[in-house]
Amino acid sequence: MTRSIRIAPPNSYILVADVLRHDQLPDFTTQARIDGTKFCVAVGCEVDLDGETDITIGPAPDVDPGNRPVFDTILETPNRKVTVWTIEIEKLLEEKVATGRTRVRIWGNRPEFPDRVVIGLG
Amino acid sequence: MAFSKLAGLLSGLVRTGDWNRGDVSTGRHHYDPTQPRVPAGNSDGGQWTAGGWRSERASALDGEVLSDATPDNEWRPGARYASRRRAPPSDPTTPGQAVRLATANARARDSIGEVQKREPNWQPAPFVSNTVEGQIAGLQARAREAEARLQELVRHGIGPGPFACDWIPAPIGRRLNSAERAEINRTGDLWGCHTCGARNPGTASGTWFGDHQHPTAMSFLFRRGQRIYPHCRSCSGRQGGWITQWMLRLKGTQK
Repeated sequence: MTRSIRIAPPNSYILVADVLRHDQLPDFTTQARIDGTKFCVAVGCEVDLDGETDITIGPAPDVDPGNRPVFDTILETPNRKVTVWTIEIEKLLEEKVATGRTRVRIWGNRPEFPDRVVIGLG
Repeated sequence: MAFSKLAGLLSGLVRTGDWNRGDVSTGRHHYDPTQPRVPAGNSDGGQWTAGGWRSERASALDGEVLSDATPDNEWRPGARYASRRRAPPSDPTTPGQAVRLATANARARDSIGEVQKREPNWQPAPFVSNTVEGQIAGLQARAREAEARLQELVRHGIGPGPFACDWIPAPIGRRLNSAERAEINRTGDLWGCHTCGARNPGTASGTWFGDHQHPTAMSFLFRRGQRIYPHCRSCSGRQGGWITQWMLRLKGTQK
């Protein structure tokens, strides 16, 4: 199933994770504005003053836009789900997954400050 | 007494076993071996006494009640019980120490106050000391801890930064309109990032990030409204990471 939301997230960042732990957070200051650990991926979005960002999550075959992802990793998903959070720990979207470790691919419509972010699972 | 005579007397004592006799030659006692002596520790300690020894204090208390214990409570005379009063410092305070104590106290109070303007629920580690020097050291440690926390908060954009000048009040329940966005960009172009002073926002469009102060996640700690200052890309990201970590420490791991 595919889910979407349109939002200007605080600090123009979203987090993609099953479990959020304070000692497993990625670097928020990388040049690419995207970074991950084995538990969490931080994704930079459109600058808040410039507008909102469309965020979509779903199975990779369903949401793959066809171009190369900007980030590709394996996340620990012990609760068999992947959640999109704001940096203030507010849940935006949630999607169930089948396994305890899940391949996560992130696509953006721009190399930096994308206003469309797609999260493909599996 | 000649040495030979003394030796003879001693040998006679040993031979007869009459150690307690006053006059070895006559075998007559000059004292009663069972007569009691005043115990050591008294003014007349070691002296023979006429009857069974009793101290002057005990004699004076004849007829008095020696214990104030009452039968209807569980207090035991002589036992030590906890008191709410803290023991006074074991060493006296010198004028120099008093000055240092007051200085350390003022520094700690000011530093903690500055931190709590940005993070109202922050507290330094507690300390306990019964000495003046210990109290001075403890207050100095609290001040150092607060100063380090203040540096951390400023570096992560918690609270208006050292370059903060103009700001706009944050609207409630709606996004910024075009005039407000233009004002943030004007302020950023004029004064730079309020945290680091950078003159370039680091965005492709040249737009500044609008930074809410206090951060929205910490709103429950503040009574006043929020302001919006211009923030650069690096400071906005660094602040985002710090807020996430702070929230997770506050709320625990999120599943």
